[in-house]
Amino acid sequence: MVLDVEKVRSAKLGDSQSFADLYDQIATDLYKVALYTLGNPHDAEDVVSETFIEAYKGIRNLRDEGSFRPWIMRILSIRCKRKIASYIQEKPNIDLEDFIETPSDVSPETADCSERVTVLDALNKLQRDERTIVVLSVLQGYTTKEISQIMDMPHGTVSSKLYRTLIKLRKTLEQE
Amino acid sequence: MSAHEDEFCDEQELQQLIDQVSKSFQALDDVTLPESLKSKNLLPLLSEVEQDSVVEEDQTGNVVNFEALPKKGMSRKRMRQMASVAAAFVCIVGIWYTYSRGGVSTNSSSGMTADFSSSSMASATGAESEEGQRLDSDAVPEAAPNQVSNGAPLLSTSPAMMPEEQASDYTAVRQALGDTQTSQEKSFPDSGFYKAEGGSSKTNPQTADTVGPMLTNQAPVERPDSSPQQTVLCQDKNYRYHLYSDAQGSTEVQIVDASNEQVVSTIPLEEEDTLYEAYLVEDCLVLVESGDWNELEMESQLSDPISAYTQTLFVQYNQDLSETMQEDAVDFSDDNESSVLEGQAASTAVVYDVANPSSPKVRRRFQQTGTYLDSQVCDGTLYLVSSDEKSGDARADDTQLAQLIPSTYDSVGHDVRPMRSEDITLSSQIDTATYAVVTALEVSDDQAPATTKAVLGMDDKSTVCFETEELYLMGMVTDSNGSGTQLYAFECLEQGLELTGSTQVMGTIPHSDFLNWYDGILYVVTTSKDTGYSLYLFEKSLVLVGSIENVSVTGDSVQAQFEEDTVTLTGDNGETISILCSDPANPVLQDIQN
Repeated sequence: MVLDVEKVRSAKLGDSQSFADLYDQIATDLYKVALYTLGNPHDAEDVVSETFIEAYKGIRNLRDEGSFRPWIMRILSIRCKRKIASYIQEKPNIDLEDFIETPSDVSPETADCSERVTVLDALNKLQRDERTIVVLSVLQGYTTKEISQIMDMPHGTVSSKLYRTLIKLRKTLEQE
Repeated sequence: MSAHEDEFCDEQELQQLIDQVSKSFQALDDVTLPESLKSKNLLPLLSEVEQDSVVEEDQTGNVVNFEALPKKGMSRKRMRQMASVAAAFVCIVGIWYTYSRGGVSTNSSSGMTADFSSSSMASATGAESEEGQRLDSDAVPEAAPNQVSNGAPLLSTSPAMMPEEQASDYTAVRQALGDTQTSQEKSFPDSGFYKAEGGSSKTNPQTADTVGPMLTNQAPVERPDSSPQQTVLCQDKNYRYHLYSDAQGSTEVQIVDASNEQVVSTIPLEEEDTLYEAYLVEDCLVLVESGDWNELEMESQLSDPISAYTQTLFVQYNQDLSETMQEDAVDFSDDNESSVLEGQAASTAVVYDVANPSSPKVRRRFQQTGTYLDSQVCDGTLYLVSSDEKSGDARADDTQLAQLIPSTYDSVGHDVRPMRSEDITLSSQIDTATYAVVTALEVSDDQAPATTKAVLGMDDKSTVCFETEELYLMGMVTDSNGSGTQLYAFECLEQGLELTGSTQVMGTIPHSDFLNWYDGILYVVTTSKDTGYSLYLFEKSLVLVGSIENVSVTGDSVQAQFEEDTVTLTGDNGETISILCSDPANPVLQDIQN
């Protein structure tokens, strides 16, 4: 999906409607990343709405208009990190019930709920960073270079983490 | 793809893996955006943001708050007019300022003021320049006196605008060091690196490796002299740990049974080392020392299982370390490399197992190059900070890596290694070949690898501020026309220490008393002889929340005091100024008492 650079420019000048239009194009992606990183829809909603405001406040500092998408994704990543830091438990686990029992999260077209549970269970076994990297890569299609920018992590670290995590995931999924 | 990635996989293999897992992940792809997150429902939240971003004008018509976002619907023409006024104002002030300070410097490292000015213009307009290219704003704009910024970032605090860059490889570090050294040689011909004939690099024996005074934020534990004395380092309910020095100057840590005052065991210290801190963490005693890199024999004085690691160290050093280095595979096998490290200043943390105080054992020893700056233990993690000035000529191809890059030794793994380039950050303005080196080490888990990060270009008087999970490093950048402070935030995450944010502010931090952490906000007070005092408030990761600049406090010696959300600046003449920060986005000047 290519975002309209003109809209980014307008948003930088304070046009909130342009900003809203841009946001709409990637809101679902933001929500997905937050959802699968944090593990529950409630916190994901909080984080995405915070990201919306923070991005609007900071968009005038965005130098490269073409990088709006990874830029806002980076804000989301930081917000997710903060949210996790606020958790009492060190490692947030995906609450499977949140996914299974919240109808709004599962469209009627979802073919196989059990497969969804299986994948979520596999994600649940990952560390937060691993989870974010996998979601950004596999679900969102970001390259490792882009992920390294989003997560402010060395490119090499992202590549190796992604590789190892995918191996781990594949193994888990095969076992289940 | 870089070399280290090849270690794990090639691009094609990675893609195949992604494709395989993608099929399973299709089940997760179908997510409906909650109604509350649709823009129509979020837009009303922005009106509050916009209300805070009113561009104010003072009575003379000068724009006094350039930081706010433009009002919704403001025309580009109007904005350009404002930009012109702002730019002209800043230029006039800048020209006056520059000439009043004796002219423009052409030194490449003296771009601070110029950067500030250009940044000011960029920030001031809140818009694009005439060419449509936004100017970088890595620094604080010059501000009107007592200007309050309402939460809008003055500085490069946005993640997209970090003022530093990560070293892509060692070549980038060499390049940055080389540029700095060229600049320094012009200014200081007697600097400690020079090129020998034939283009090879040698160290000037007269000036190199002179550590200079230990510029640290903490005074070392004083060693008693003349007569036997002891100083309590730390204690638990059963034992006290004394620093004991006899009349001959031999120094040791004595473990004393508090119930009967009997010394149950001793840990001898090297005379050349300086003990800075001692920490008790569960069953571990951590001694933080500064000395020379080659002071590695002390383990032999203890009956510990790794006492022979000195030998192991050099065997390891001469092996091909590519197995242990995850990237930037460097042949560190040259015998000369190890000798280069010998004698370099180093900061050391030795973890002793004192579960049985009568028989302390070395559990771990970690060493990093550089003179000791500061340390702290938070939640069982030791943070060790050193300042490592390198004297090797980065422009000479045969200068060994250890002369240019900080190195670490960890008895876990028994390896010496230069820092990985990916862990080195190049600051936006590198005036000195000095690194601030920061390590996080789990005290109780001697299998958890320590993680080390470094920032090149920090001055050797860097200030360190610790919070539970955060470590802030602050260093002065300066030139002939002005000074500023670079700030870096590190966080200890699951994967180790990570740089989570950075920014730059005007003025310098006199000392650590001008920093405080309260209720999730980092308070930073800076001073500049031209612009007075400024207060900056940051969230974690150095996201600017609010600031108040150019507060005038008279008196030669000004003290800063923090009481909850109130900052008080007091001059030695009694003048007191309070800044109330109950709303961190809007710090308010309160009382002015004489």
